[in-house]
Amino acid sequence: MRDGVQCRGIGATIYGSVIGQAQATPPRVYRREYRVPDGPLLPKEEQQLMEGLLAGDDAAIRTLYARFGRPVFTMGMRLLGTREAAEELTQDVFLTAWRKASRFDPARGRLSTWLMTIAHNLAVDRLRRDTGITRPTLVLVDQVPEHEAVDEERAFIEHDAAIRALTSLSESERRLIIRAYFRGLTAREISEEDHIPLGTVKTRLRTALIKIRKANEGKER
Amino acid sequence: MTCAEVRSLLVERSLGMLPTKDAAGVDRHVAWCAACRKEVRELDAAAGSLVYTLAAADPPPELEDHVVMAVRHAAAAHVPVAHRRGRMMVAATVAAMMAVAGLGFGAVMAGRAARFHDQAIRIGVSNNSRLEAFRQLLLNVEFSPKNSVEMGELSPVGSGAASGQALTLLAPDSQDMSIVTVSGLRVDPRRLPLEVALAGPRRKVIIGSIGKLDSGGGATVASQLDADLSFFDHVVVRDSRGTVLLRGGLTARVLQSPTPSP
Repeated sequence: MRDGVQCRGIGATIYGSVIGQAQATPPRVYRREYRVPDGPLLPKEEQQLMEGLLAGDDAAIRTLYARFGRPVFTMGMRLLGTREAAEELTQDVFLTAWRKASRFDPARGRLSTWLMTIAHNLAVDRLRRDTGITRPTLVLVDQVPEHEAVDEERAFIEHDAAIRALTSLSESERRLIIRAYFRGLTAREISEEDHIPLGTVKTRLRTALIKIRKANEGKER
Repeated sequence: MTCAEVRSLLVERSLGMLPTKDAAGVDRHVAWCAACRKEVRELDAAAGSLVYTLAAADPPPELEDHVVMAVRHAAAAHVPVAHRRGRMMVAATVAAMMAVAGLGFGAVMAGRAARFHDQAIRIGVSNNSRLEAFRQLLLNVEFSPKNSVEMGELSPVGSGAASGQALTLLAPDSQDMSIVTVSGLRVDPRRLPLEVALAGPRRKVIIGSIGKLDSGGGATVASQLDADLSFFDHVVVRDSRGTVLLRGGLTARVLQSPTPSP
């Protein structure tokens, strides 16, 4: 008999009696209250929520969904065009966030930015993959009545900044951002479509994004 | 890549327009360049805010439950079965090793056969063949030369005779693992379960919870995690009210290749 065989048996016994005992209460049922205000999240609060998400904590997932579920779903609806695709995207975004939760670092950016980057990447990947599908007409926030867009303080802050951002862009910059960010075109593709140099596309994109950044400066973390 | 090269790509990166290969190059630079990182942070925030320029759409009420269920299901499954089986084998082996021999992690995990053998003799372990077999399992079944371990002793915060050991396996080719054993804990049952967590400068990750202690006040928790555990430098055991019971730092050890026993 190989010693290893004997060891495996002993190991399993100990596992059953000691480790098994510890795991009789699964780690992920650990309950915690997430007291986060309606306003912007502090880095510490973002970190706590992500730890809760990583642990599969019900309260943490619901808190995150309450904050970010709607914009993620909106991204899916407006870019992919159907409620089914938007729901699927929303689930995928939160699952991806769970999978990558340990990589989130509040010192390197806001949680909302991190989640929206995940949502955007997944949505654009899908757009690029499904090349034969008709794209929905993009509806921007300044194209709907204001009362439809704003229903709470946090949403109002985001809505206000979004209106300022759109207002700051020229019509051509707006079209450029839409094609780049929401349609998933590369700078080279835009350059070829518009018959303008690649460098010009990049410069215009930079100008547009910096305008958006400035429009957001009034928003607190 | 230079800062100038990286900055020429940052807008495209933030808008998600860069090919993966180029984005990876930018990210490598940004990881150590604070100035470019600041620029990335600002551009990312601007790009991330673009979602709010879309007319909002209301998700169906049931979607929240679907999301919660999906994440909880994934968290419960946690790791692929093959990984889990392999790692739990090691966890079981380590736990068994400590339980049977009373050896410290240093002797067990540093992997030096001579040291292992000497220490086993010193503490008077009778069944050396069994311990040697454990050692072989540890070295041959799971551990590779690329892996490293961090280990530490846990001490009580305040008075008390409780103690513990912690080990974290850092494996570049697979998921990291952590195992913590405690003993001598006397805890009011109303303060259970205990939370066992790895902590670092800015974050922590829960390894597991202890719902019941054995007659010696002991238990072991082990977990495989997607997180890179090298960021965490100490272990904390808390009761359900958040009181810290045990704490200990982790220090790196390098696993050695198997060497013949003397």
